[in-house]
Amino acid sequence: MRGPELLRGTAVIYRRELSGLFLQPVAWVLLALGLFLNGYAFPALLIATKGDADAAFLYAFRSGFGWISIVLPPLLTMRMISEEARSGMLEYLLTAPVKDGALVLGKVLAATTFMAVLWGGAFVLAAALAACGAAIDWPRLVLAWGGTVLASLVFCSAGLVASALAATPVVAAFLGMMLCAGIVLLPTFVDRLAFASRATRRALIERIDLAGQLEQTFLRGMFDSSTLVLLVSTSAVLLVLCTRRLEMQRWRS
Amino acid sequence: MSASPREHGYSRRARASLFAQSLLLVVLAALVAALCVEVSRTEALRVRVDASRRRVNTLAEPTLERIRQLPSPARVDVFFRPEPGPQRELVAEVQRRALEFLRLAAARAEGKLELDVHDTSELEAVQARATELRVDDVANKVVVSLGERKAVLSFEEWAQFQPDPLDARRLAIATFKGEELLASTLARLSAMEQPRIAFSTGRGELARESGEPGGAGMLARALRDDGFELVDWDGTGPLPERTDIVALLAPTQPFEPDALAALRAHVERGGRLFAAASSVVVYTGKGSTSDLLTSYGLSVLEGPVCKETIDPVTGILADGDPRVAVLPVSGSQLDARHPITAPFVRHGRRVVFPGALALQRGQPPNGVALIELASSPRDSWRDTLIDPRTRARNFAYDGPDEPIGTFALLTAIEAHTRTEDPNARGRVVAVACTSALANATFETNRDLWLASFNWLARREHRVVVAGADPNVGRLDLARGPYLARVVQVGWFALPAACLLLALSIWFARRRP
Repeated sequence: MRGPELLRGTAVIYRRELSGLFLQPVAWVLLALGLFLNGYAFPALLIATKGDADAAFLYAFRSGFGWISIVLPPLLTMRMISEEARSGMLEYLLTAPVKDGALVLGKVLAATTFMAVLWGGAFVLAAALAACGAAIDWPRLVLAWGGTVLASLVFCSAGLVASALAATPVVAAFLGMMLCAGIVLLPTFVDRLAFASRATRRALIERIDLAGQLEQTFLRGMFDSSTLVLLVSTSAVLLVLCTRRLEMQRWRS
Repeated sequence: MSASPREHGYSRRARASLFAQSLLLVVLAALVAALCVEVSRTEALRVRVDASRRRVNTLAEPTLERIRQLPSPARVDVFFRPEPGPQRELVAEVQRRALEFLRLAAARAEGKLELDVHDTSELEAVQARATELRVDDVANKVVVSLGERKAVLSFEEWAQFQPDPLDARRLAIATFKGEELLASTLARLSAMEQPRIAFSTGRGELARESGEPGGAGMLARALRDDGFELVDWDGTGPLPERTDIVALLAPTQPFEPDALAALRAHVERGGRLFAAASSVVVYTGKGSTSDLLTSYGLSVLEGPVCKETIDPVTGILADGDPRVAVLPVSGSQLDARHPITAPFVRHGRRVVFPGALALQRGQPPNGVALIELASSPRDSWRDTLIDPRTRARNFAYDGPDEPIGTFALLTAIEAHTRTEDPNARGRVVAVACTSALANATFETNRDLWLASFNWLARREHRVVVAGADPNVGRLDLARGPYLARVVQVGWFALPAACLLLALSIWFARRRP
């Protein structure tokens, strides 16, 4: 019965991490900062799109790839493994009847939930516009939010990998930001590869460009199973890496 | 009992082996992920659902059909670059929309459309591709190639422009025409034969090549661009060879009986006819277009169809003004199932009939079907009475003397033929509105007439109508409270609520 056991373990860790996150004043300060920066840009986006609220939300979610996705997830996940390893808490967790996979999954889902709340600020802005009589494309907004949360899952996974690799939270945050920036900038690097033909580069970019894929599908209100698979499988690879890293901690201890 | 690794620890060799095992597992996971991504990209397994309210991610079925029917994959090379000058924002907006549309089309084309967006800062690569395409100037162009055939699309073709409502010195997009442009370009490139339209001349018709407001030069150009071959027919001898469609553009003088007989025989053989009766010089007697339409159970009624309008300045319901005869027609006034008008209903588009006469359905002969494609709004009236003193119409409803109700303005006719093919049908599109075809209103009605001629040419797959006005659904930021509300919520309310929570948690945690 590995499945239910994994789920139970994930739920336990998820609850623990979630309360750890939301019962910290600093988390709410971060949330306030993120919501303010998103909200600060939104009127400018509305003006730039000449009142096209749907397009403004698209840009709001997309612009999040510029800084929110690179900075915030590593800050959220930096303490999750490295600090626990330093304080000795990880040893207890590793000896607890919870699988490594459940441990990693619970932590990453908690961090992603935090990001989902942050991106959920868009619904409040949309509701404010709707209250003034704007016709909001709600299904499109929900799908755009869902896609962005899925992308956050990838960045939180990268942050968790960094936390598992680094010895201190500060190093984990730095490493995590590098990893997240790498994920965002990878298509640009590939486009500069001199040895591959243009067609090969294009084909490769189509398969690794998370932001581009997300923008063409979910952010425009289009559910695309291929984008879903890309986001989930990227996240899965990072979580497998993180799990193996935890196992290595076990051998060393 | 097996010993746990924790109890015994690991030798260096065992660790190296476990490390290699872990590494292998991660590499395997990456390979499985890559395989999943690749498999998920195959069309058979890929699921795409457009959840947007305005279906912004869905191409019209005729466009998709047009792409699917391409004999080989078409390639689209995009050479957009930032444009300096006062219109740079407009250019950027058109480029952005064009690119978004082309990406959508490529994603939906099931491999029939290859999109290549060139980085114009890479001069050598761009020049090499331009040489390969044999196009001299590719700056800000989109080149669509199908085998050896090519079409170069310039920036202006992607949209219709109008003065910016917020700043009259600038231009703004009135209608984005990406879908229409791509569909017609692909149709033109893939067309093996050009349907031939014979325009009747010498009977006071709209001048086919005239650029004057009352001419039909814009219609002729649009038809030519859409792959039709245009020829003249002087209405005396037989129809020109290989004539597919005969177009009568509001003739004001009667045809000879032989000419009318030739037109009837053309339809009976499965030929097609675009019959526009003149609404300026109304003649319904022998040899008129109206006389010709009577053969199909349709008659043209005198008196322009009118409907009161609301004065945009005073907001008062107005009649007694010629503007009441300019009828915008949309939504439920259009047939939602016919290939000509269905896309207009789907996209929420409207067409305009200025000074149109009503088409009355009579008793059609056996084997003839009449379909009313566009009709006037409810409570419109035919302005039949003429003031005896001024000898002019008063454009006001004069009570029971003037018929009131809904009147047909555009009708499609399908008639059985006398050919051996039992499925062959002659097709006629009938209208009685000179101004609706003229250059002055052509841009508004362009898609309607192109759709009509494509239906007549049995090219329903080419009936493509541009989407609705892009300004529909936009917020009026200058007048509405939208910006203020967004600032209140986004800058203050949301962050303040979070900070308040942070503060309360901090207080709660401080308590012993």
